[in-house]
Amino acid sequence: MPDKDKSILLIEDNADDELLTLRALKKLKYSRIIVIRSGPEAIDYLFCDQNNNLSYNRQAQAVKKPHIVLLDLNLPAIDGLTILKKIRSDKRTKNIPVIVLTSSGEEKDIEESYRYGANSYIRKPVDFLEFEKTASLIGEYWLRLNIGHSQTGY
Amino acid sequence: MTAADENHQNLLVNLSTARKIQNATDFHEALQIVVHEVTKKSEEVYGEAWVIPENAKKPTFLSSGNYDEVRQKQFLNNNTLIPPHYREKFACQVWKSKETQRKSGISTDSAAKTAGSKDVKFDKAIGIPVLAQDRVTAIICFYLTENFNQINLIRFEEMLAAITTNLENSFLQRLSDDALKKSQDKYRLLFDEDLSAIFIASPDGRVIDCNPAYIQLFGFNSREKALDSSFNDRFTNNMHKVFFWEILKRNGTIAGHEMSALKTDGQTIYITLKIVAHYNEKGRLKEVVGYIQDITYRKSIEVALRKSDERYESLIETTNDWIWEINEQYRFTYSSFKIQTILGYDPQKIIGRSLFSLMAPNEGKKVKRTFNELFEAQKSSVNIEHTCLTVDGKDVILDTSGIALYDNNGIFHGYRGITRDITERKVSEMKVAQLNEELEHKVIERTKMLQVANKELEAFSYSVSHDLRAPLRSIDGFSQALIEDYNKLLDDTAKNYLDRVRSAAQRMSTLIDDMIKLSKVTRSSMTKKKVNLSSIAESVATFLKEDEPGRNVEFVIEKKMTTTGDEALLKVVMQNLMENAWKFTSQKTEARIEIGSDIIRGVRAYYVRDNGAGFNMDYAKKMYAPFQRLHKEKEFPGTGIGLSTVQRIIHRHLGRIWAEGKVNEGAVFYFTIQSEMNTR
Repeated sequence: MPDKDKSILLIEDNADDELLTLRALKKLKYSRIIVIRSGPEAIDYLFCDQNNNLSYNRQAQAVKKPHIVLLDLNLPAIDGLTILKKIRSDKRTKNIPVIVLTSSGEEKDIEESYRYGANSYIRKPVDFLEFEKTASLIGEYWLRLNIGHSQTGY
Repeated sequence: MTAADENHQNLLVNLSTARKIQNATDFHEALQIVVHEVTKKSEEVYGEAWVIPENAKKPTFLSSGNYDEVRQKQFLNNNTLIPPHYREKFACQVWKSKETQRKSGISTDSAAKTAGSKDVKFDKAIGIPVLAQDRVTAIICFYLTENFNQINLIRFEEMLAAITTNLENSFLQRLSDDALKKSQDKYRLLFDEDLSAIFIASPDGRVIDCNPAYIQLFGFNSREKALDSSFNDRFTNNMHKVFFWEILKRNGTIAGHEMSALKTDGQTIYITLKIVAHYNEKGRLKEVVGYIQDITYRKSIEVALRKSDERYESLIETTNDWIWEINEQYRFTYSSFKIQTILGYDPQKIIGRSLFSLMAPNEGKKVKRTFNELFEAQKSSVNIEHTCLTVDGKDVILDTSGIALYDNNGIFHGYRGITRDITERKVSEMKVAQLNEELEHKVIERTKMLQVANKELEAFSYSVSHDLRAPLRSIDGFSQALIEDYNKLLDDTAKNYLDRVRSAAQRMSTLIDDMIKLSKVTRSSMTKKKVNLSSIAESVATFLKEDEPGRNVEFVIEKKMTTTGDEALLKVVMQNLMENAWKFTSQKTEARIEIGSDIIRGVRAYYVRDNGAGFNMDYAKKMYAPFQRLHKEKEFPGTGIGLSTVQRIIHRHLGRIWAEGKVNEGAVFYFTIQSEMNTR
């Protein structure tokens, strides 16, 4: 599978950030990007819980194992760290690389993210050119250079 | 000599003899006087005295007398006149008969005849017994020569009878004197053994006799020394001495008189003196007998006791404490005056009242229990806090210490106590406690408020860092998107505007980050330890040089510069100050930055000095306020947060920061870390 076809799950509630992230990733030719905009939806998408009748359910089944997850921390209802915990505690998802991509530079957030098993912690730069560079580096590293468990496992 | 003359003569002899007998010290002397007085008048008479000691078988010769001494010797030694055995026989005869015996014709009596009696012929003899209580105690015998005529003999006999009577009268007296002497001997023993000092002195003060106690009391080296002294020397006060003799001369008495007296070594002792004065027949002071008790010890105890009494009295009167005693029924037997001040009771009227009657009933029970414990547990003392009621019924808080009292036989007989009014102290203690409680409450409240505020601040800064950045990213991102996607539609001015929008957004992002840092500096906890400022400065210098390798900056850093404080925060201080120095020397071709320390006004001050752009001292105070800048952004970029961060850190270290500078001549920043922290 070419790197550019690998799926990216973006969990992000801020529409602007979503747009800008997608713009940066698309500029870099990454096309398979799934966007989830809240914590419960993310859980639902990843673990496909019963009694869940959200509309994209079916579609989600097919792509539910993304190659990487770009996770924002500050999410409504269920925050990023909780999602991270869940990802790591479920055998189906525990090996997916999770890159925390957030506005926060708080020591506390960084520490907790790593504690719950984040693979990387990146603070979103305000400068968009910087942001693009960052996105490209993420793709370069996690989708091209890094040999992930998921590639063999799923 | 006529008969009248003779009579008169006899009378005179009698009178003078009688007086002499009176003055004789003892009976034997009196006999001797009689013999001597009678014989000294006439060479025609030889006399002798015999005494009869108790239970004796025969008289004992005592003494003889004669006008002529030679002749007297003849009688006594040579047996030339009348032989002794003859005279003894005659005396014996008188003794046996108890009556006056007369003999005549001795000169012709062969038994009395001796070889040497040629010149003087003793012819007659008269022997008179001296009787005392019907017992012959002595015999006086007179031998008369032939020249003694009959008429004279009668007169002579009369005279002798008178003298004998006189002698007998005084002898009777002497007899009792004798008994007295015996008892005196006994008394002498007592006198010598008596612990009281006793002395006998003549009216001029000379000590005639004294006992060992006297010698010892006044410190004489020997009895002789004592007898050589005058009692007058014992007076410490001349007036005393004068009065002493004056009183005695006027028949006054001195009994139990207390006075000070001088020892031979000059030391003063205290004595009681009793004097028994003896007067002669004319009423003149003959001698004094003094009895002395040494009361120095008693006196010193009295003085000590009086002093101690005075001391206690003044203590009791001056102390603010109430001192009291109660008996085994808890009834007052003593109360100092202070009860008046403390409780308002008259100390006199309190005597006999129960201690507990001064207390509220429950309080009384409680205090009684404590006192009983003291007695039962045989504790030496108790200390309790309790309340009493004043006369007006007000509560007074008292602090009482009590001890149990035992008499000499160890029998408990009450308590003694000392009580202090601690109402005022208690009230202020209570106030202090109340204030403390209030204060603590306030502190807790404030701390809570502070904690809430801190939490809010934390949440605020979190949301600032998070939520403010997101729109900035949008502003920046979409501006860039515009530039990229609509490049052809935008002219240069529009692109320039979009660039300005972007740089403003980025700058705001930096400002936000710096603000967050500043607020963290204030809130973060501090860990104090020894910090090496020199090595921090070295590493900052290295970082700066690597960051901008093109710059030519000389760093001069003092070696081994240490202080005590939070290392991370002090690192921020050094970073900021050195970055500033680095920044403001950017336009100098030969930049120099010095980091060191000096003692300024007795305190070690650390400094960062540069030769850069400097500043106007008028604005020196302004620099520390957040976002305050003294230079244009274009010249020297920055947010204006750095110095206010530094100032906060220094203040948290209880230190001081100040700066000196001059435009274009450089600046120096000094800071201190409180010495208290250095010693920790």
